[in-house]
Amino acid sequence: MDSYILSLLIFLPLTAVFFVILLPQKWASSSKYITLVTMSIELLLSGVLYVGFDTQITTLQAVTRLPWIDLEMGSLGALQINYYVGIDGINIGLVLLSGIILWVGSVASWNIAHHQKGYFALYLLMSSSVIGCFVAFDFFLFYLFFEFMLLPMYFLIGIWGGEKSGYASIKFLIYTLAGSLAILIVIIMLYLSVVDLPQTALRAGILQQSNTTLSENQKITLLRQINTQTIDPKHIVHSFDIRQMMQKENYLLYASLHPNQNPLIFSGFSLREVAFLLLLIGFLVKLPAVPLHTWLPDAHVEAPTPISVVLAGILLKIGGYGIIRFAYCIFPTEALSFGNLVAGLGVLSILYGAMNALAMTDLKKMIAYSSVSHMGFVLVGIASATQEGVNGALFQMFSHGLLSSMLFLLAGVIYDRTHDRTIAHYSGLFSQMPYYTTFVMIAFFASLGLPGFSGFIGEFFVLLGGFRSIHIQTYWSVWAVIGIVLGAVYFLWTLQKMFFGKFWTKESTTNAPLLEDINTREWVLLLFLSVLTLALGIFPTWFFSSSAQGVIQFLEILGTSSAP
Amino acid sequence: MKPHNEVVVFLQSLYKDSALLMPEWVLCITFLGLFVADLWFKKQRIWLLWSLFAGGLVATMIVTILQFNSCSCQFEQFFFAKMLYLDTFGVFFKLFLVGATLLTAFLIPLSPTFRAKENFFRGEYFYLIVAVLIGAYLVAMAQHLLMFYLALELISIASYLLVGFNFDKKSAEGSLKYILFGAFSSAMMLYGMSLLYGLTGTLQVGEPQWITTIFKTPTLLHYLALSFFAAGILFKLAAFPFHFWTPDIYESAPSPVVAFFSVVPKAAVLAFVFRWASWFPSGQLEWVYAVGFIAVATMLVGNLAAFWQDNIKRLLAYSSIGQAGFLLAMVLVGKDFNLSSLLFYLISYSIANFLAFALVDIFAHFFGQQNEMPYAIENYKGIGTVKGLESVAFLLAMLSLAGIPPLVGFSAKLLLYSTLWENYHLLASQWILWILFLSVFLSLVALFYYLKVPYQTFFLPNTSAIPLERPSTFYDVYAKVLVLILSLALLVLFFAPNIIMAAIQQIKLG
Repeated sequence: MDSYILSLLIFLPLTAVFFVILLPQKWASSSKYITLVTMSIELLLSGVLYVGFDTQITTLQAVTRLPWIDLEMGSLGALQINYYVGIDGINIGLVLLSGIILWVGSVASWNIAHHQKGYFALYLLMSSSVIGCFVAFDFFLFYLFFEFMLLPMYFLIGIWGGEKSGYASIKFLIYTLAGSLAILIVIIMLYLSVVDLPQTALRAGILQQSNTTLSENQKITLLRQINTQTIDPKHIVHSFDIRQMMQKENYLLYASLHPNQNPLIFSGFSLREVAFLLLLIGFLVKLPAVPLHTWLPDAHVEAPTPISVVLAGILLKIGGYGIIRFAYCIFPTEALSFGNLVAGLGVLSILYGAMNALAMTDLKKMIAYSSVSHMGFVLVGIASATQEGVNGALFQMFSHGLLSSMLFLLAGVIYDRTHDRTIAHYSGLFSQMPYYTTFVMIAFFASLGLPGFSGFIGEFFVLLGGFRSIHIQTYWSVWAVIGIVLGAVYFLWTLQKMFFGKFWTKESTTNAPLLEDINTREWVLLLFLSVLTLALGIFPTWFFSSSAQGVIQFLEILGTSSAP
Repeated sequence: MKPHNEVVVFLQSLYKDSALLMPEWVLCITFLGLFVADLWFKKQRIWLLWSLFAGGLVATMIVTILQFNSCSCQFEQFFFAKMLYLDTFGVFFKLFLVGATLLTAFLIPLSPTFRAKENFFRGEYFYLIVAVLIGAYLVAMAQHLLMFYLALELISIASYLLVGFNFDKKSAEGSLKYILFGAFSSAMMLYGMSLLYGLTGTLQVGEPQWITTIFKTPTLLHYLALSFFAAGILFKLAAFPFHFWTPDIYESAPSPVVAFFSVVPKAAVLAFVFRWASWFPSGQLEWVYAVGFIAVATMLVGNLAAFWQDNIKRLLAYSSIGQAGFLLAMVLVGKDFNLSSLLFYLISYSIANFLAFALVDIFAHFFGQQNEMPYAIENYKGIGTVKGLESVAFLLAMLSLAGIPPLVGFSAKLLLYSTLWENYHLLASQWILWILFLSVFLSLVALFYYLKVPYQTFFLPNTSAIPLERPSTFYDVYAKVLVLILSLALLVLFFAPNIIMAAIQQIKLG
């Protein structure tokens, strides 16, 4: 496969940003066309990438690895940062999902009225960094995208959001930044412990040319030199490459993060455990898992519809992806030993999210809490460390991406018309908006896990993995099942309250003629998403075929692949 | 005849050594040139004076670069009767100092008084800055307590005058406060020095042996002496517990001067402090505890107090206190990578700080036409739609100070944390680990107040009447270009940090 597609995916929106900014003020409204065209190309490219992805091999595909920053730090050695992107079974689905959701978001942004140039420039910036997050294999590069994403999001929520958007956006920013600073500490611990062997060999003169690989003998010589500290410290090249961070031989023997060293600090926790927990916290904020979730309902309620769509559809997935790719792959032993903690937090999110969703009076808040609940399954699936569980977690992320976008679009439809999202202010909407109600029913039933839709498959596989796993207790899965029941309760209840029965709305809310049914643009988006979720529900192998090899490799890293 | 011979030899050596002071000579000539030109020129020729000032700085910069190049391949040596020490380390700091002063020169035309051409026509403004720079140059090379004191006082006295340069009541009050604080801390330092002299019998601190000598003297006494001595240094650094003057002085002094103060004297003193750090035997943890405590306290005070400010200059004052804490955290250990990180951090901090102060003045001029308090943060309400470029640049400056990618401030923070982690590893002292965690936590806190202005500019609607669109003057174009260059520097240096780092790596730490 052509490796430039990934770079194109990242840099195309960035280039479009310049066009949007340079647009004269009188043509400001055409910035949405630029964005739509860009996002359509992105969707196409991610589709091409998905179709061209070889599902039979485990190696990284579409790889680009270029040296970027090479910083000499005296006796600390050098610090090597690469532009390193690629795809494997774990992230290919998420890249496709970003293509889909970002396109949906760009269409849903059609009605943005004020400061269009600013809005679309920020939207494009965010798109670029979201995709960058999923494909980066260099921890620094990942962090750059991960943290840079916050700023466009902060402004998108704050400027184009609702009344209390200032509060919501700063809360979002502070929570996520706190998480990412925890990740930053771990990045620093890691890169100072990990050596890029080929580059070091090159500097120390063991290798002559940059394009040759190290022979076994050369490697042994080099490792001996490094570990007896007879090498000139200036020649040591520290690496941010996460593939190198996963291999024990790349760790400095005297580094405290070396898998064999592991000194105890902080009342009995080893440093590697602390590092794993910090990474976990960083990504749990993003996921979000209870008790780090409180930014999410606020951000969703205040954000404009398309931003809610993108936030729930794709940004939350970075948390789950980060746990799989970074926390688990770099610290496999520690990860398995904390399996019950991760699963427990997952179950807590499922139950607490569902109970909160039950109590919410605001439709968007209800959906936001349902997101918390559904993302809990991702945690349970990952913690199970079985083939079904991890595949299920990946599937659940993809499916929840589609479904939550649909749910937020639907909440946006009613809000656009009446500027009121209180569930109790409506009744019998079916008689006024039949098509709208149909889509709501599809989205609700798919979300509560009706077989035939994608939501069912994800949760089913997660539970399958959870019950079979030897790394987490079985009762976690039992509790997760209860969460599904609660999910059915709040979705059905809302459906019944708002859409069935005799038509009625609160007088202050609206007068009837305003309640038009969905328009063409909404039709297109909702139909597109409904077809996707239905198709995935019926043919889940479309997804599983691409993720299978990636998951097998993931389990090999964890050392649990031999389990049945 | 012997004594006579000695004098001749001594004088000859002084004559020979004076060649090593080329950059300082150029500065002195600039100082005198400005002094004469100020008397000569008509008061309206303000740009002429400015060009002379900037030209002198450029010449100094060139000579300093030449000195750096000759230094890195040739010598490091004591000169002027062992008063001064010349090595790549000191010269690099000098290069940084003159660079920062040059940036100050570019900031000066933006200050409202310069634009209004009132109250400004005083060449003193320029040559006092040169005087501070001469002092800073000498501090960066000083190896003798007497020399250090003289150079520091040169900085101080010129600074007291510069603070008063707005010629209003507030400025005078600030200047007076500054003098009182300054005199107090100078006196303390002088007392400390005399104790140190009494303990060790020498004022020559330029050798590592001095450290070992001082630690052989009675413990309580040398702690006392060193603490008194530290007072003067901490005052210049605006570090805890000598930071109280900062907000008042920053609020009342002209913005270019404030930007200058927030960088140049601090950097000069840090050069002196770092040399000490590099002499301490790495097993000696007293230094780590003392500097660590001051760093932590300074970080805490600066970052926590900044949040409550409603005046942009006071906010930046507390921010600079907080940043001084971060800078001090890199002086815990005198390793070469500590130095690299320190210099990188200094450069990154200075660019962002200068950009911020340039914008403060640009906005103050913009608000000043109908506003009594041009530095109040609430003025910035909704200004993002009116002055887009400047508002975005303000955002960039603040984010760089907070350490958010993709701005150079992030690279600096990354190096800071890496250095602390590596120092923790080196000394196995959990104290350093706690400093690391605290500084990470405080960067999060810092984001709160760094976003205060962007919050006003972008999130809130404009309430006050916006001045009518005026035809853009030369100053407006100049301001835009300067802001653009500095903002781009913040971005470019993130993507290519080697531009600075390659030069820093040429420093050989004696």
